[in-house]
Amino acid sequence: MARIVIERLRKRFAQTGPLAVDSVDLTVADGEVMALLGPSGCGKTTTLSLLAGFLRPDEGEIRVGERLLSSPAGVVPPEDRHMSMIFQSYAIWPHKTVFENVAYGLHVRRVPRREIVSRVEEVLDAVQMKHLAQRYPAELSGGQQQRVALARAIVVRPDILLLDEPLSNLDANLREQMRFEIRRLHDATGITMVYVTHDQAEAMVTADRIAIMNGGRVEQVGTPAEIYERPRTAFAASFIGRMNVLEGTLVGVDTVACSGFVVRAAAGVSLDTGAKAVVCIRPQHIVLGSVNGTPSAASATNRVVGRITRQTYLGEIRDYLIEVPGGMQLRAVTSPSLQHEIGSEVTLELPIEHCRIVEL
Amino acid sequence: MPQASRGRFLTIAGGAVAGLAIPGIVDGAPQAPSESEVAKLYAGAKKEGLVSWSVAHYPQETAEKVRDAFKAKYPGVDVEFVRQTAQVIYQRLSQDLKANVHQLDVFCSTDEAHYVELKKLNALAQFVPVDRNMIPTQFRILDPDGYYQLGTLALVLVNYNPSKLQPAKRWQQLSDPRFKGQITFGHPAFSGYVGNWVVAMNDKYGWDYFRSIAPNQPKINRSIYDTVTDIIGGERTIGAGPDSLSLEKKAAGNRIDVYYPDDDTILVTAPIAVMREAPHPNAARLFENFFYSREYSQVLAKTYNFPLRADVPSANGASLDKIRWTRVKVDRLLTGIPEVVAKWRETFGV
Amino acid sequence: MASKLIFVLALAALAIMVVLPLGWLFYTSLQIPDAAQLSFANYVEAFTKSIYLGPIGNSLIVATCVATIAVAVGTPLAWLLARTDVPGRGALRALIVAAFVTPSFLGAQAWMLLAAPNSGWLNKIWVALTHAEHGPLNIYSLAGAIFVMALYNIPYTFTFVYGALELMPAEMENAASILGARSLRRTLSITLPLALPAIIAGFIMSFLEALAEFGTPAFLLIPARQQVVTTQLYLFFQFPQRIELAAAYAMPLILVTALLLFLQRRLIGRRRFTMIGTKGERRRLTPLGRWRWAALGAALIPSLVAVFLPYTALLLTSLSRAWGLGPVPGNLTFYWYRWALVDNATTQSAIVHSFTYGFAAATIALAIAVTIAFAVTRKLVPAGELLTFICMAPFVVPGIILAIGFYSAYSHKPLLLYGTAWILIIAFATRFLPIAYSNMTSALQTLSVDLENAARTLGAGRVRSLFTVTVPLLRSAMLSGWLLVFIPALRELSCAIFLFTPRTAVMTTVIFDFSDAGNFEAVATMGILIMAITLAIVGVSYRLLGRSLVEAQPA
Repeated sequence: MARIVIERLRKRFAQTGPLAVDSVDLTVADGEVMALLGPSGCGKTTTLSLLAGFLRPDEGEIRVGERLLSSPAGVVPPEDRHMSMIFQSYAIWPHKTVFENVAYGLHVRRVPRREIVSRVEEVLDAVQMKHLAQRYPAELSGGQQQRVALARAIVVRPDILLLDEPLSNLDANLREQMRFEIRRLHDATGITMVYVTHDQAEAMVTADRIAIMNGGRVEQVGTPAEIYERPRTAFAASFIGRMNVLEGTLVGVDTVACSGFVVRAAAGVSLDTGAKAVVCIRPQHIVLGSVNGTPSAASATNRVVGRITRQTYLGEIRDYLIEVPGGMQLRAVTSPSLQHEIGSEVTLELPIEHCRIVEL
Repeated sequence: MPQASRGRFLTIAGGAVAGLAIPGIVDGAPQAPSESEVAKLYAGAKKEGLVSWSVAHYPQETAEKVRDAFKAKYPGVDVEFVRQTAQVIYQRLSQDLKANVHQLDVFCSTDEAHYVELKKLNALAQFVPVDRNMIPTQFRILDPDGYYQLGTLALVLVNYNPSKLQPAKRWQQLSDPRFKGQITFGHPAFSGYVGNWVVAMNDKYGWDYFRSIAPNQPKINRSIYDTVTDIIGGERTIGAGPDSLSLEKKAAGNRIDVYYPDDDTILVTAPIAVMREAPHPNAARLFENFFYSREYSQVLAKTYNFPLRADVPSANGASLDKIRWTRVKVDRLLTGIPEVVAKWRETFGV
Repeated sequence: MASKLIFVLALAALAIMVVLPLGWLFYTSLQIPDAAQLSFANYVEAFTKSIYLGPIGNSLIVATCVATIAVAVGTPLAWLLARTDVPGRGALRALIVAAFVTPSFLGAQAWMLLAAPNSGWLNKIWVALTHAEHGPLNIYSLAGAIFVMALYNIPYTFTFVYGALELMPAEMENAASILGARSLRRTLSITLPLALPAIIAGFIMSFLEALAEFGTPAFLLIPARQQVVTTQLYLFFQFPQRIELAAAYAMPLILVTALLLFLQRRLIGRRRFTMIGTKGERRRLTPLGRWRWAALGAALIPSLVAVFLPYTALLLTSLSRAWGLGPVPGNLTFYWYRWALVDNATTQSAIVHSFTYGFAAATIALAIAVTIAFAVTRKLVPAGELLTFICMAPFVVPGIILAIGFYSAYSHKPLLLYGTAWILIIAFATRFLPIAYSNMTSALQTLSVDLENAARTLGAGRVRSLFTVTVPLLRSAMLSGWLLVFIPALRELSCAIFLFTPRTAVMTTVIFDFSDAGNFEAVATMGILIMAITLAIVGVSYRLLGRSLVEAQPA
């Protein structure tokens, strides 16, 4: 059972410095792919290093199954954790051939020589690197090195695979292709994976669940759809997909007054009236209309009049930036056939069912 | 860079031309300068300010005493010197001469053969010191043409640590197994004194003499004075060494003594010569002239060397009349030293 | 135009410093004295006579042993300091710097005082303690010479390997850990193989140093009745001089060096060791637990024998009126310091010469290195590879051979430099040009060309942008490059011993001259003076640079 339970994990590097990891609680189910998603410096890589055993926590525990791996009292060293890891730099050893790189973990595990050969060949075949087995890393492209790193990590059949920004050194096309390969690999092996990335698309493609991290804390954990549709914080909301975040004051359980207009949401929050809150709505859910064509050009609940400040034609869609009363800029996307001139006034319809109120 | 060196070359050449007008130098038979000519040399030397001297005759401290005595007698003329073994200073000099570089004024080797070679190269200047007649007749004229003169009389003899062993009474006894691991030598390819001694032994006993010593594993150094260092420091207990430094060290309380071997002490006549193209021609001649002064002989006596002048008594009453000595003639040194250096290499490996 | 002129001047200097001397060396090796035509007769003589072949064998034995020991000690030492929690790492590194700047002939002199078979202080202590008949140490032996040279070569391997370990991305080792490799296996299968280029560089550096070393063999091996190539070359310079034979005899040293560098390439081969690392990662130091203090003890041994013991011996000797009497109260005196600094014209001028020549050599080497490195890294000239080769060529030519080349080339018209300070200055500059060049090349490579281009788009010429943008940015690299020429020039012996004349003696040649005839006090005093000066400079440079000089790149 490779169920990972992280409880109240804290880590600070400098004695007086900020917490790099601040009370993280996280459970990864056996066979699950969990992405740690966040901007750089959010603590995701530190969490991964704690998980791998390269660092000792200041507080909290890490368990896998029944086994306590890390606590302030001590850590099981990385070599005894039955984990594998793919590093951001791949860390392919330049003095070993592709074959030797992949075989390393098997040698360490004292696997019989003949079995090593067959397992290495098998995994190299799976990552389409069999024909390059005798090459040295310096003779490989970045994508090929990535595959070697992948093969080296999975050939030992680890309980858990840790991935630290594994695709960040690849170009865009290759990156997109490798996301699916990693996911396919998981589906074929069922290995529990913890995947650190700052790229939301990567997280959404590869992960079963995503943990959004910010400032050393986990802000929200959920499936990609949950987080996309029901972000719990403004940060989570803005980090997955594009999101308009309207600041205001709570005037009813489900109503927020922004400067100049009022928005009602489908669901309320348990906050006191008068508290600061934000309303989130995704650009594609905003309905734009011409001021002339609508019955009432005035602002009403969930409707506001704004002025187009920027308009970008992106082929499949049009992307508008609209300034609304109070100076906020909202973003809206429409079908490319709908066209509004820069400077013209438009109405913005914010459908109740797409508006969410979250804590600031 | 080229300009700089050419400038330097011209100064040197100029100095050499000036040298021709110096008193005491006449083509053919040279004569000693008169008192007034010596005064002129001193005046010229003061202008030059410096004499550059290579010396193998005695150890550093003795050379410093010679320098100090000269400076005391002739204030205003400094002495810059290098003390090294004879073959090393000769190698440096020939390297300079080959490159036509003239920086040395006075050359004091302990291998008389060097002077024969230098004379052949026309590298030496004729000079006869004022008081040449004050030294023993038999050493008065080393070179009939006056290109070089006697600078120091030195002995090579048995040196030993009297608190550790009885000395070898004859050179021949050094092959006795009781001296195994006890012997220390200089090197004939470095030291002129050692070269004189090795040629003398070779000529007397044949090279088998050294082959018979080899099993005793002598320690081979460079200078003859290394023998003294080895004995005083306790590294070895017996060797073929000098008289002067050993007696000086003995007088200072060190455990070292000399023995005049029954099969002959080796006498070395170590010459002095002024270079033909000496950059400081007046100072060079004044310096050589000083070697025949009473002051120089007093320094020698104080440092347990033989005073050159008969009117200065030696420190311990030692006299060449009282010891059995032999001397290798310069003609023999010419061929002998290269010959024994090669054999030495075969027998001792260095 | 100005840029062209500067470059042409640098080229001319290269020709004078490297091409001409090496060309002359080869030409001389074909000359027969008093004969017009050239022939290979010198080679035949040099490589058929057994007395000439013996020293070659000895040299190869000594160099191989020295390099092996230096690597065998330097590598684990570097690992201890870079990868474990051994206590006192800063102090240990300072001691290694002290060993690094100590010329090995000075160490040899000190070890003569310590470990001469009968009179050496350590042997005497041993005899006093055990009542044994003899002490166990004999510095006058091949083993003794190997020991001393290895001591002062350990810092090369240490520096290279330490640098490589510092630069190695932590992920390389973490990848092995997570795959289950424990500390020992990780170190042997990943860490050390990855440091292999540095280890090989250390081996080659020590091999070449040992092959080219003159002072230590002259002090220790003549009493041991052994010859090596350098002492044999010295004998060729003795009467009757055989410079042509010396030139021929020197050639295989260059060949051996070239062969080594070729082997180095082959060994590293396809495994190009470019490693990408991510910045700011934290490395786990291997905890040594209860072995920490034992490890400190082991790490101190090389410093103890290379620094503590020799400096103690030299210091006591320099303060003794007569070293043979031992360090007893009545024997202690500053006489020799007064003698060296005040009373003795020869030592005074040697100290001044060492400084001025070192200063000039470092300045010339740096100027050429900056110019050529700039032109090559910015691809301003064709044949950059060739220029790099010429700048690095002195690296493969042992100092003593370079000296023979310089003497052959510049002891006659049209360029009569022999006898002037210039031949020493240029020889020093040439010997250490590769250090300055590789230092400047690596510094320039890290400096984006856009910085200069920005200045040039604003109208500054190439020379102006070089001096207003690049040079200020390179200041610390230039200072360290300068010092890395200046310090070795201060302690250079094997070139100087063939090129100095009475008017141009330097501290090292004076030490060499005092070393014969047992002037140990004078040698020790001059040695302590050289080291005091050098260490003061290292200290000042550390403050200026904020880092140790020894962190330089391998040449």
